[in-house]
Amino acid sequence: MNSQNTDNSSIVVPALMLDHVSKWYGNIVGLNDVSIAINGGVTGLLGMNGAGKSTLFKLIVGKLKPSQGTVRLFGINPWENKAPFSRIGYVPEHEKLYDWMTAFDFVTIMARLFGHSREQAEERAKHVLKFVGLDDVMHKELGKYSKGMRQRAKIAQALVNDPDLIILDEPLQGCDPLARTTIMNVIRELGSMGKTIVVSSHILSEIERITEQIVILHNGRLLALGNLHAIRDLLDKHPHRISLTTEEPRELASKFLNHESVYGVHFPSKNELLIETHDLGKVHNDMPFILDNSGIRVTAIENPDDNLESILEYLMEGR
Amino acid sequence: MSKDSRPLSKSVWSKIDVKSWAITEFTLRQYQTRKSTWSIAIIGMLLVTLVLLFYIKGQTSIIESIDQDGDSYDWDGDGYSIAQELQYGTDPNDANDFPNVTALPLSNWVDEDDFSYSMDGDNCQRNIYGIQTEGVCQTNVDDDGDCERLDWVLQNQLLGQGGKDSNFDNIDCSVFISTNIGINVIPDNYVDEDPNDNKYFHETVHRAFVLGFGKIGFAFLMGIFLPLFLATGLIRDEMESETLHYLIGKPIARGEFYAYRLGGYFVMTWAYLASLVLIMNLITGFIAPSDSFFRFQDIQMWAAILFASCLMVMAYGTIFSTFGIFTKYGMLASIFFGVWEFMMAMLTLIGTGSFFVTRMSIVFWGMQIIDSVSVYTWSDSEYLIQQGSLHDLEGHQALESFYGVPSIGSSPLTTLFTSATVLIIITSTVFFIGQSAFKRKELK
Amino acid sequence: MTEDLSLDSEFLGQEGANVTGFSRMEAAYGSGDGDEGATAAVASKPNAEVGTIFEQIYRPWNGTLNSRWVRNWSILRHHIYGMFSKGHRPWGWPVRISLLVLLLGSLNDLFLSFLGNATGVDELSRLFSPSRENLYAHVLGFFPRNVFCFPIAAALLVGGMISEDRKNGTSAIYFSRPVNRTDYTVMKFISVAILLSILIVGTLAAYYVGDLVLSGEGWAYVLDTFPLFFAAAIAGLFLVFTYSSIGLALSSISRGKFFPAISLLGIILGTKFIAFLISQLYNDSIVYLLSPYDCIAHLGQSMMGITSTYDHPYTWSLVSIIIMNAISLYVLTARVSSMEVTRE
Repeated sequence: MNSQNTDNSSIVVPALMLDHVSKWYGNIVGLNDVSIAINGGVTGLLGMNGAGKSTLFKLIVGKLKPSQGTVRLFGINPWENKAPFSRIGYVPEHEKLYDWMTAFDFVTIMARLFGHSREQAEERAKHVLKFVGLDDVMHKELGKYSKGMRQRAKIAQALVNDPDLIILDEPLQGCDPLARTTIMNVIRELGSMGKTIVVSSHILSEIERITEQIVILHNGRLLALGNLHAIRDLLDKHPHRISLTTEEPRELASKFLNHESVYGVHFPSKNELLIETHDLGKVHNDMPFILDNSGIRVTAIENPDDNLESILEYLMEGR
Repeated sequence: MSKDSRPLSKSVWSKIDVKSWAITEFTLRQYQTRKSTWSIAIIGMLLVTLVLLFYIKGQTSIIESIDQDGDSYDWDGDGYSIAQELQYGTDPNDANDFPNVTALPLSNWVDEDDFSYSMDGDNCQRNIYGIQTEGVCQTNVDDDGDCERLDWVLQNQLLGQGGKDSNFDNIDCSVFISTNIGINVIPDNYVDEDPNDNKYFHETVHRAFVLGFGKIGFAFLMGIFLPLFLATGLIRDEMESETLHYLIGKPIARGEFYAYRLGGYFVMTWAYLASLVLIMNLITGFIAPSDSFFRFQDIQMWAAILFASCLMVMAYGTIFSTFGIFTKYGMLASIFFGVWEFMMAMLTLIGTGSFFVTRMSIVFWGMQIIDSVSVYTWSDSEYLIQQGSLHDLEGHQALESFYGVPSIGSSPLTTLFTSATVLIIITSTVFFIGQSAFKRKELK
Repeated sequence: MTEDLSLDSEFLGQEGANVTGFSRMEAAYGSGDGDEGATAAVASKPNAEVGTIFEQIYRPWNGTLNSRWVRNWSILRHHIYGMFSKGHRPWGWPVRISLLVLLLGSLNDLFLSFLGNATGVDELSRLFSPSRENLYAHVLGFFPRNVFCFPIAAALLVGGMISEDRKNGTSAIYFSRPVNRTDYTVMKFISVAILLSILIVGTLAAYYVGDLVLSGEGWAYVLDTFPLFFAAAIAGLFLVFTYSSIGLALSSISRGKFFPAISLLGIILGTKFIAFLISQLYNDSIVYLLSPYDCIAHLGQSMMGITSTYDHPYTWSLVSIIIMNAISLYVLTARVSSMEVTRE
């Protein structure tokens, strides 16, 4: 995710860079000293309501001016120069569209605003609408579209100029499962095409399915950024837990208590044993031997902490 | 440095013609889909239709002709008018004394000495507006000969001294114009004393109609209401509906985006005004009194009205849309500004621009354009008003209400140029302020 | 009134008693759901069939609801109090300040009369003290009140009255309650009319009474002038009613806040000026029948014994204004009746 400096001739300017960016509205701090550089791949932006995700996006797309710090898109300040917008596609959170326009007309006019001739714009519009799966309804008015179709139309207008940086603000909000799957497929495909994509969402499980690179905001501050598994591994203070389903949890617990990496056991239910450890890998390595020696039958083994939700929960609530 | 071949630094200015037309076309299409646009268009058409119906009715009506000099009466009932009897020297009071010629219809002596429109006397002075101001402006204008032959006049109608030169300009049977107190038309006795009432009425009311509707209908009402309906929400509506980002999140400067949005508004309003003016010009041109089948000289008057209206909707539109940029209460500010303009329009109409405060309004300058061109088109209007007042002819009050000379103390051409320049400067200044504010505006 | 309750579909209020207006009000305005103590049972068929999910047995609700006037009063209060305090309809500070300025502007004759009395300049007090012409002019004189103050105030008041409910979807707040559409319309109308009356008739009363007090006039003066004041007040109410009905009709056919306001101004001032143009050109006052202001002014002239400035009979103006109001009220009621309870 960070820019890599090898030598002067091959300096890569990140697609998106925020350098100590803060934004406040009167007494309310929207964003507090956030520094990120993103270049390539799909990055998930996570945070609760009021974390600053929308503020961050608005700063990126030039709708807001940072109170402090600098925002750079391809090395250019978007507030002062609109040039980078030729390489950006933005899918806003709200669902307002020009209901009186057909999707085809809408995407065509967006393409013309990039400087394409009418014929080129129409060609591009057809192409992107086919890409997002709206080619059979492109001449229908946007006002008659379902929510999922509207989202795809918004994505189509963002893609029409073949952008290098795509910002999607809550693209899955309000969509049915089928629409969500379609949109996620589109995002994954765009990521595999080498574009830089930043997507925010509250649906954590689906963000996990799209990407492993995440940025976590909380109360306007950058809480964590990087690979979600790596983030998890770094959380030393938070113990890893292993859940074992068995009919003899207490007997099994006694076999693990002697292990050097296990520091605690719990019994959340009658048939469940929860082991707490600081070294997940070592315990997993030794587990087959312990289970085999114990002779106790185990029907399920899970790692309840190795997901985004628990990371988020831990980071935000300090657990 | 960008990592591919797309030159970022130029992308804002490249293909600007495509982008500009795309925004303009989008704006026009947006107007097309709004019910308010069609409502205003239809109401404007209905308004024009209503006034044209009254105009046609007025122009096709015949008003009663009045024999101002009373020489068409037949007192003695012998079938000969007073004028015919006096011409042949018979007694108009004696039924047995009548001329030995065929009796002409009495109506021959009604409206027989009309105003003369040719005013190119050698001794006639003109002011900067081209209007005759001093001196003998008309000679040999006694159509019925009763000034040249005073024996054709009843003795008890002889007025004052001087006879054929009662205005003492040393020329018999002439018309002298003086500007001692206002414009005074002083004809010799029995010159232009029995004007054609119908002709006068139709001419003056036609001019009053063009000026009145040009000023009130086009410049005043449409000039203010079209921008109020169509321009105030040009940027503000997009902000409120959260669709603005689709338009400005593109490689085009915000100031230019604003300019092209205004461009779409101008195209729409100017086309609409032009179509209405064309309709008015065609209908009035064919119906109004004229020497040919169409009144070609009015084309420049209607062109001036269109020009003034277009400049005014341009100025108002820029102001109102700028209000919308600054605040979500922009429409409220526009309403109060519109009220100020109403006040100034009323003062301009009633005071013919003599109040200095009226210069601080857009409507004043718009009306100056119309007044400037009307002086060129109809240079004898003041003469007609004065003559009409003298003889209490129907129609003179209407023309007097709406006719005005340019009131900034310059020639009509200078006033025209100055007014247009002022309006353009106002538009440019307000646009500059608006686009600066728009550039710096955060879109929360 | 208590009755036997079956175990079938039934909504029970507190402790099994009948649902009262209290619990409905609690549900509408309280912080809870209003049914914390309630239980409900849903009848269901033992077997599932194709096309049938469950069977409902409906019972008529025999509870009591609070008085209709209480609900209507709450709508009225919401709109009127909102002009003066928080916690009610938010009118917006520019609108409030504008209305205050217009209110003060409408009282200019009182200020001038006061000035005349205070300074002893008889000419001033004679010019501005209540008289037949001055009372008429206060309510129906074109300049300055009927060109600036009253139309703008009406425009500001009617602007978003119904159109904003349509746009924001807040009409659902009304129609999901036991509020019928006629009541909704009438209460909105009355609230606009009351606020406009304060400006038009209220300032008239302030002018009349204020001058009485300032000049120290006696009962004889009151007896002489009260009929004129009364006639002017009635004329003012005609103006209030007409502007409210036209304005709300425009608000009901629009989605924006300002289109109705501008349209109302266009109707009032536009028709006036076009009629003026026609009368100046062709000496024909018939087009004044299209101008709501002029129709009412004509009526006011006949009511107050002022010399008419119109050529046509006042009955024509009366018929015209009745037709205008009828059309406006028809449009208003038709639009509100068909208004969908959703964000349109």
